[in-house]
Amino acid sequence: MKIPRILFWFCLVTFLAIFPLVVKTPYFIHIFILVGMYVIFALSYDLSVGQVGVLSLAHPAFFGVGAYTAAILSVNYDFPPLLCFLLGGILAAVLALGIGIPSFRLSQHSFAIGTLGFALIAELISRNWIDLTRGPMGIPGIPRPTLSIPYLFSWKIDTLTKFYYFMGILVLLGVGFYHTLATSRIGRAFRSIREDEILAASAGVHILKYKMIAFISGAAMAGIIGVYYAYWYTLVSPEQLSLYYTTNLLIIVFLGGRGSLRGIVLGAFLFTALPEFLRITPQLRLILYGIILLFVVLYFPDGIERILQRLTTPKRIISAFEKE
Amino acid sequence: MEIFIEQILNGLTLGSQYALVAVGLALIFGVVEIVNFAHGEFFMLGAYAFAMVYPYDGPVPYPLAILLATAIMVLFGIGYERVVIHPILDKTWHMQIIATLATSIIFINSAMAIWGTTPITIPTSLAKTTVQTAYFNISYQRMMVFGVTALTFIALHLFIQKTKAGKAMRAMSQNREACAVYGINIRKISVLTFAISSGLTGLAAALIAPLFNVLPTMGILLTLKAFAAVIMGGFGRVSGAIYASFIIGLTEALAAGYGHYLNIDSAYRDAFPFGMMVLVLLFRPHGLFGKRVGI
Amino acid sequence: MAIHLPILHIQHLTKRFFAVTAVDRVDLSIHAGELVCLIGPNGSGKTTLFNCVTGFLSHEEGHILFKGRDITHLSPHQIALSGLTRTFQIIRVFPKLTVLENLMLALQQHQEESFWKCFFRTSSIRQREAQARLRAEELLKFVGLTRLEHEPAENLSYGQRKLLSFIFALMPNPDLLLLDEPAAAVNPTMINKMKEYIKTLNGQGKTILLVEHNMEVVMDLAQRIVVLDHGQKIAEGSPAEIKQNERVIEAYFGR
Repeated sequence: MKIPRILFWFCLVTFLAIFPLVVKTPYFIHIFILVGMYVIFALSYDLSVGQVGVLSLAHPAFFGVGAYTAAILSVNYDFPPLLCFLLGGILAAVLALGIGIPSFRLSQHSFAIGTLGFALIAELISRNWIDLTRGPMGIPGIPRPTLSIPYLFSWKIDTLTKFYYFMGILVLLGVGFYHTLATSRIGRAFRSIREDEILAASAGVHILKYKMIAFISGAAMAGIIGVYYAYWYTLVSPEQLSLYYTTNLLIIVFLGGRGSLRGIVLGAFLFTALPEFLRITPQLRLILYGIILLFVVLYFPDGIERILQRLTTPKRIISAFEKE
Repeated sequence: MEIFIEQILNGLTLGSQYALVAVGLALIFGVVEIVNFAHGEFFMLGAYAFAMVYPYDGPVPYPLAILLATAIMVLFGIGYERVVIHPILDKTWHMQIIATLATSIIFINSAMAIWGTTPITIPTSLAKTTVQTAYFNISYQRMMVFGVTALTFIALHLFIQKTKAGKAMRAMSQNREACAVYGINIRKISVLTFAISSGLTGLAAALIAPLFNVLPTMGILLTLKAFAAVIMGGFGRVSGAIYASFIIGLTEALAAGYGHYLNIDSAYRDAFPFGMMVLVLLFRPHGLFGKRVGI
Repeated sequence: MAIHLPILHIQHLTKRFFAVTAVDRVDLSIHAGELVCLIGPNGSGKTTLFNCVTGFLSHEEGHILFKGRDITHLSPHQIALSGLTRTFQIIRVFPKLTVLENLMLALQQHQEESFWKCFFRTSSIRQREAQARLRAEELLKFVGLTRLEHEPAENLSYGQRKLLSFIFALMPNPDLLLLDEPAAAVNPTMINKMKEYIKTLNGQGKTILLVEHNMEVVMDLAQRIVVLDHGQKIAEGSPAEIKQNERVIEAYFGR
């Protein structure tokens, strides 16, 4: 059964575009914004990690850097939002460079643990460097952003609906970036590293360079969405760097299937929207997530992508007797 | 001078705790070749288990409570191996890490759901009685920690070197495939390794918990510090892990005690083990005491 | 550029693993256009030598010069980019990539362009992709795998994968091709095919060094044979000479 792709995407985009005009309940708009954030966040994680096949546990740190950059610069120094977005991405990329250079020299286990260590240090810093981050109290009062380029346009984002559309734009940009990168020669090099690093090296692929490119692009993307979060939530606190988000990311990327755009988008939706409808305590929810993650890893390591593939592509059989 | 000795004692106590936990982790990593992210949670669950059997400085005598807590954790370790580890033994390493990470989350939140998030204290008379000497005070509890830790490691050493099971563990850590050929039951050794590791953390919890607060999240940092010790000690070398644990413990204590001279907030003392680990990994990727391994 | 300088010059190469000397002061020179076979009993150090030459292992003593340049401290990808490719004893392919993607990857690094050019798919990049595709199809035709172009490599049979890894190494038109046991673990028909392909390539001027256990293949293909035993080079010469060499016979069969 083949689902015509263009039709599907067209319907989806139209639905999403007119959604807030039809549905007036803020709660649902809220959820979609959250889904959008997780889509971008998960895609950024897949770029950093899933495409090249490494396991980094430091990703929330990049998100946090973006969020804190926006918070500090806009609250204390009144920086324009577009500049904050740029700087958030850049600083996250720089942090990724700093973490990546020592860490990628390590074996895979050590890499995972090393990045976890960095993530912890980042959280510790955000919690304890009171002068910069105000510690556990966080930085409140982030103003509503006005996106503007002088003489070109100015867009003040001060309603939920406007945040929704802004998120829509970011999602389009994010998905576009991800897709372009993943289907380019660079993406091919990434996947070759994931499949067989030694073979890739013997074919001329500079392993460290490509791992760093993947890591840094994913980090920059996470930083940018961190900035969005700061403006949307108006409060940034050390919780944003918590390892809790790493679990979420792992679930989405593995549930959706590493390297699979539609799998991850679907995974982000399932994972974010559904729990919102499950009114259970945070602890029970996390226990459930843990169990899901365990289950996915044990029985569906390729994620939804496998299932989606079966639904949309007919199976091709190569017969041993086929003539050339 | 008094501060110095006090911090040395703190450091040794911390070191003992880390060592007992890190050795378990090193054994798992060395023998079964799994990175157990839930290891700190073993300690946390051990602490709660101990709290269950010894809530009010009784009703059971303290030594018995220690034994009970250790026994509970041994059983737990066996169960954990059967349910979680066995299915992931043949999966790729990142699946294994994620699986143990997932169980860690399950444990932490289950503990929160069952016992709540308020820290509990387990007072023991030993913790409250101190010995006073000319230079320092030390509680009986701490003396017990040192003593039991030392005895445990001697016992472990003898076990691994002299007994058949211990030799089987060493064999498995060197060459898993060959073990099957020689009739060594890999399944049993795997279960045994987890039983011992878990038991060690249970023992550690029973000894150390009276000195600190017990909360569901107490294991998170501990896991990472234990990893730091295992890595610095050479990736699975038990003796290396022990030395590294004490180095970490002492550094942490001294940093906490003297940190204000360098203007380092004591809150950062938790960052020290990772800082050290990162440095070690940068300059000696095979650990401080490990051997250089080929590709 | 002097044509009579060897394309690969290994001098006094020594590789030790703790107490074991896997490669012991080996000297080996290969000139452009030659087809040389490296043989020796199991454990004689052949694959270790390959790994040292291709940059996957460091070595303790000696020099390796490729096209006159010391490649001792280069990493594997740099060595590959300088024109030296190899196959692996245990066949390696990229399982989830299609056959065509495998081959495109083999060439793309040699046509390297900047990140942004690749990202935006500029016309120069698209040109190179087209060139790479042509070459891939040419090679697929050479070994008869054209119909499997869009098949994920993991779906190929062992023999087909062997052919894929063979043309994978050929994609960037290397100056020196290292083949690790091309005739191993395949049926006689495939062995004959491989022999023909190798002969054709050498006929076109390709320099090839291969490791092989199958003596029939060795005797048929080699212009020159080098024999290793316990890490040392014990003989070197034409197939006829090696056949009669006592030390070689002793190494394989004992006294």
